[in-house]
Amino acid sequence: MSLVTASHLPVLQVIVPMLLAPLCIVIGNRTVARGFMLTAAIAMFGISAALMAGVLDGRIYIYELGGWAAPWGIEYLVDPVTAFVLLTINLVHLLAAVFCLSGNHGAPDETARPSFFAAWLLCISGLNGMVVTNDAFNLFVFLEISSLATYVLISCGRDHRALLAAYRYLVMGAVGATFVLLSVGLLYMQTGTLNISDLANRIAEKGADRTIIMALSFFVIGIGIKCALFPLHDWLPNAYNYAPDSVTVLLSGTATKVALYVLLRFLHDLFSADFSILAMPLDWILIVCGVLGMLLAPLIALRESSLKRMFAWSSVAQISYIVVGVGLGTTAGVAAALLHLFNHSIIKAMIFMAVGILIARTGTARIRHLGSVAHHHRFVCYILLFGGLSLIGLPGTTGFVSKWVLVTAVIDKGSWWLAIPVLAGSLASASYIWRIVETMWAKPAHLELAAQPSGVHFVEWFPMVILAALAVWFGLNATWLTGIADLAASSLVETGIGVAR
Amino acid sequence: MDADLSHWIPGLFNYWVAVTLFVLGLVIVIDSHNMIKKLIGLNLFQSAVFLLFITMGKVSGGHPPILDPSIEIYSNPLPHVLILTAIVVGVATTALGLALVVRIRRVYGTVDENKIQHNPDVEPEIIP
Repeated sequence: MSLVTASHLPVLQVIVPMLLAPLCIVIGNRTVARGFMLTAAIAMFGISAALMAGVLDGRIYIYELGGWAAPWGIEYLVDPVTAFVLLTINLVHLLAAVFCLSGNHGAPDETARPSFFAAWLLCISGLNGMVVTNDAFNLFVFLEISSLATYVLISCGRDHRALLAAYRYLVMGAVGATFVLLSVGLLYMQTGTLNISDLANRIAEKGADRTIIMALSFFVIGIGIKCALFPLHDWLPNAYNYAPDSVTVLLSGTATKVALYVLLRFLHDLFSADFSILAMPLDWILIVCGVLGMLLAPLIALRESSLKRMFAWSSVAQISYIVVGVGLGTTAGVAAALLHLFNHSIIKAMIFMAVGILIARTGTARIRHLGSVAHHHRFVCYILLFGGLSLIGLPGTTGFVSKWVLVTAVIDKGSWWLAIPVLAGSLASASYIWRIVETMWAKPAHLELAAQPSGVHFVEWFPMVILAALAVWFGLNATWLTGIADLAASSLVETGIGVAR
Repeated sequence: MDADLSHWIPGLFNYWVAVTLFVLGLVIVIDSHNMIKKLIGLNLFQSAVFLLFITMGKVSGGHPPILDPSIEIYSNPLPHVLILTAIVVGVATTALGLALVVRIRRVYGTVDENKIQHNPDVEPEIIP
């Protein structure tokens, strides 16, 4: 491993969208704003791909902001885990941005404003910042930047209830972020540093004391709200349901995933895994929450009347698999968590794109109104079916790969019985997927459905097909992806950033 | 930990205030149905954390951190700087929350969460 400090790529990842966001508002032209969004998306994807290539060559990128060295200045760090998550979220963001260009997926007058695109850019800028930063307080600031932008984006939904969903998420999100702030404060109090590598080393020297245990607790609850950890997921179904469809795609593919990354980073690096488990049975807390989530969320999904909300509950279930992987604490568990993070990002983004197109074409998201819809909108429904099968984890899809790795990790750890809820959760997902398949293919058609045009616009189907192709490719040929996930997991669990210096 | 009560209560006065505000704010956020009151609770809750940060920056006997050859002990300015940022974030959150409440009130005619939830007439029925 070689350290690279001269490269400006880590900071560009954050700066590009952050500078373009105010320009969107200053210029005030819709077409220009859309152009900026797309430019930023392409640039960020390019940068994250370059960083990934560098990391695979054995490099670790460190960027000192303003030239101030680490314990004093803010530092950005890109190691294998960071690069993996960056590539995932920027890939999904690029495709979500293309999908967003088709426009008609929210309140028309709200989502067409330049300020919508400014909020979008700030959101993704904050998310990228959360991933690259190696400074605990900077992380809080980026968390708030992305959260505030997210509340704005959600409130642009086509329905007034989006306002309520945004307000509720704001209240929960602000409580969560304040918990994170408190946790950072307590850590600073005990160690006198904010740099995550430095914190990791000092906590390892000091060992567990009561303040640090409190910091850990506040942190897990705060970030748990952001990543919709099972009992703290309350905001997610409403926020996903009422947000404009392009925003739902963006959030499902990036926001919760970044929060999960931060959870992973803090538990395994900052508080080393041993410490987290030593201080309290955190591994079991996470596993129990995860198991409850993966069993209960599909049952709620089965009872939902709205298609979008049903898949939102399915997100809660899928996040639970990632949380179980994090909770296992082994290298294999973390690798499974990272793999599922990637797979769920692309699958759920694809599903929400398909759902968005279906809602735009049929004018309804009620599942019972969607009878026989597959005969008019064949292409979209097959994409939805493929996504559903991936969520279940059918062999040949990416969902199978990550669930297989998770079950292997569970058995390796000696807790073979944990494989039972994992498999039962998959069966439960099959139940709600079957329900929409039955409705869309077999139930009698609802009134006036045939009158709708069934054509799908290029910017709508293109990102969806790319995601589907990726899902097929990584389902059939998972070696490359699992290789990267293993590399990232071992760099996180076995060495850690504190020691990597 | 020092068992001396005289140290415990006045010495940790700021911490006691912070904890009290923290819990009060959280209770208001959870318990209140009024959206504006909820935001006030949120502010109180955030202020408690700010107070905690500012308190930890104080070094006993320390002077304000302005360089002067006659001063030897300075207070720690870093927590104050951090909280300056956090206050800005808090103001932005409150402003956005209030903006949302204004729009909610315009649409639903109320800022009471319970009335919106339990009264089907208040909630407009729009697909989806």
